[in-house]
Amino acid sequence: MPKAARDIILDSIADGVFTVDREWKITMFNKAAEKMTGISREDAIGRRCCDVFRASICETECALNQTLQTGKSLINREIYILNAEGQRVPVSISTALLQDENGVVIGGVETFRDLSVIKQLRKELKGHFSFADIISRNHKMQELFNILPGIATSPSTVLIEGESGTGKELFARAVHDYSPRKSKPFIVVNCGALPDTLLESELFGYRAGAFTDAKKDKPGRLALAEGGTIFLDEIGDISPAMQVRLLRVLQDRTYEPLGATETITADVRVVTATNKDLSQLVKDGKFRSDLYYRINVVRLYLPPLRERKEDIPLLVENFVSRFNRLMSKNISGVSQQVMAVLAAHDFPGNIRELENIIEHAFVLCPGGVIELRHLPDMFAKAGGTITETAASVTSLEQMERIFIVDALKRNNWNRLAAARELGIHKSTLFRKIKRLVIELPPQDGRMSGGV
Amino acid sequence: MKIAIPIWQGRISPVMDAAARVLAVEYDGTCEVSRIEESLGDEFIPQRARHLADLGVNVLICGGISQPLLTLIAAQGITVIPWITGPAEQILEAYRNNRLSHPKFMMPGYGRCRRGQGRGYGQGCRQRMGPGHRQGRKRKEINQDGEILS
Repeated sequence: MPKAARDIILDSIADGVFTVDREWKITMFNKAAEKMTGISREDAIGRRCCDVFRASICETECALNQTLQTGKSLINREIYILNAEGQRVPVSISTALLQDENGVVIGGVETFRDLSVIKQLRKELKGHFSFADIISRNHKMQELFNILPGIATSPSTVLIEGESGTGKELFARAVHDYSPRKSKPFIVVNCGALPDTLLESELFGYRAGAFTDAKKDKPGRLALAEGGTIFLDEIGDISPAMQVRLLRVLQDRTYEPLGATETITADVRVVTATNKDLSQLVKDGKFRSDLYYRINVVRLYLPPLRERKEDIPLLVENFVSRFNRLMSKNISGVSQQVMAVLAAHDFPGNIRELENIIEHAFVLCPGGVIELRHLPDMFAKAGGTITETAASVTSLEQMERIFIVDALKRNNWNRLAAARELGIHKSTLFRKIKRLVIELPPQDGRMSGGV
Repeated sequence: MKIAIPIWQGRISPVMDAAARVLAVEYDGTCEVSRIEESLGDEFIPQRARHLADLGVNVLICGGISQPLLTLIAAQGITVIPWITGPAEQILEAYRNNRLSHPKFMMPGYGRCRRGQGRGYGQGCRQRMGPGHRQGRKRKEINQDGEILS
């Protein structure tokens, strides 16, 4: 077959295809491969395949290497590659030997299929986002990232505090995913969403005959989480009676399903979360102090989005990329005015609110860049009152000013604390204050005995 | 100054997120004073960033790197020079002699990579001049926040 005809055929298929010679140099690279990797054919041909394909398995289990060594094809293995934008793209790969007309092996061929949309939909369906979905350069979040591995590997009970929409479940899942229990189940129970009686049967399960409609045994969530982790969300909402039963699980690791006569021992790690101030609830007599001290072994506090506004551009970029995949759109980002309005907003709903704003904009924006008119009506109207300067911001410099002033205000004008929060060196902050002509009050956080 | 390179078969690892080992070389001026090769193992992403900070690394030269990992490493105050390819020793040499911008050290798609990851606050993905760079054109001073000082 003539080369031109072969290239037309290869370019017409939706899967990425490339071939390598015996020295791992790319010899053919089709159009779909260009699209998925973000690398042009001209750039790819003649380069080492690991530099072009950048797969998670290049170092350890190169699929083409295995095929060339064993002669056996490999089919539909799921890995990820890094595209030219630095995004991890999940792909399914298949490999085969490349032989000449005499049957002599001259290299290998690899085909790969983009699984981004499938993976994203799977994530949306299961609500199973990973730690990689938590993006932050905020210093408080960095501290959490630093201590999280140690917490994950310990068997201790964890209490995660933070406002709604700050990502408590993601952190709970990370505690599980990086623990020795990662191969066992991670079970989520939303304590606030269930009435007391239902929560009891959901958590502990029941035996046949325990109540009228209990025709057969039903294992509870604790039993389903055996060997793994149970995540009790909104723990501050459970009734006093339920608190007693839960206390026993935490103290003795034992419980009885409804209607059962035997006691069951649970090998389950407990991670809890709340958006309430549990210590205040204890003071008010609404939450048992003994239970509080049982769950408050390791405490993580997730800062609200208004305290980590420097993360907004990264989060926006992440949501834009995600909704592009989900809605098959090609939106490049948000305008500077939109970013400025977002930066000036306080986000009582935190990251979930930001996500909803971007989703709303995706519905209204046909393509290109998300503009102010694509934002929710209420938000757009509020945008005018949040800050007039924000809406009229036209440069990155002005946005930077908003971020810095906000961080300084939050830290009582303490420059060192603000620099820490912004994740920049204090001298960088001083220079920026000077360059952006930010006026500082005569009395600031340093004078009032701050850091 | 301590420079780290994820290493595989004597070359820079193609994917920092999946790299198994890292080479860290410390220089005092132009003299190499220490060299250590360590396992990065199956560490999860924030731990990889922390590991480099614990090693006292000032500059990380790496191949492909995901945006989240780049953000985390840069947040540790480490200057990241991503999308570099080639033998580790040649890369160290080129960095010290300010020749890392030679096309032979750039991964395919380098321009797009930089555009993709050089936005936002730009922290950590600017190139710092090597310690061997002492003459020639006036050099730009870039701090750990990626800010051009002069």
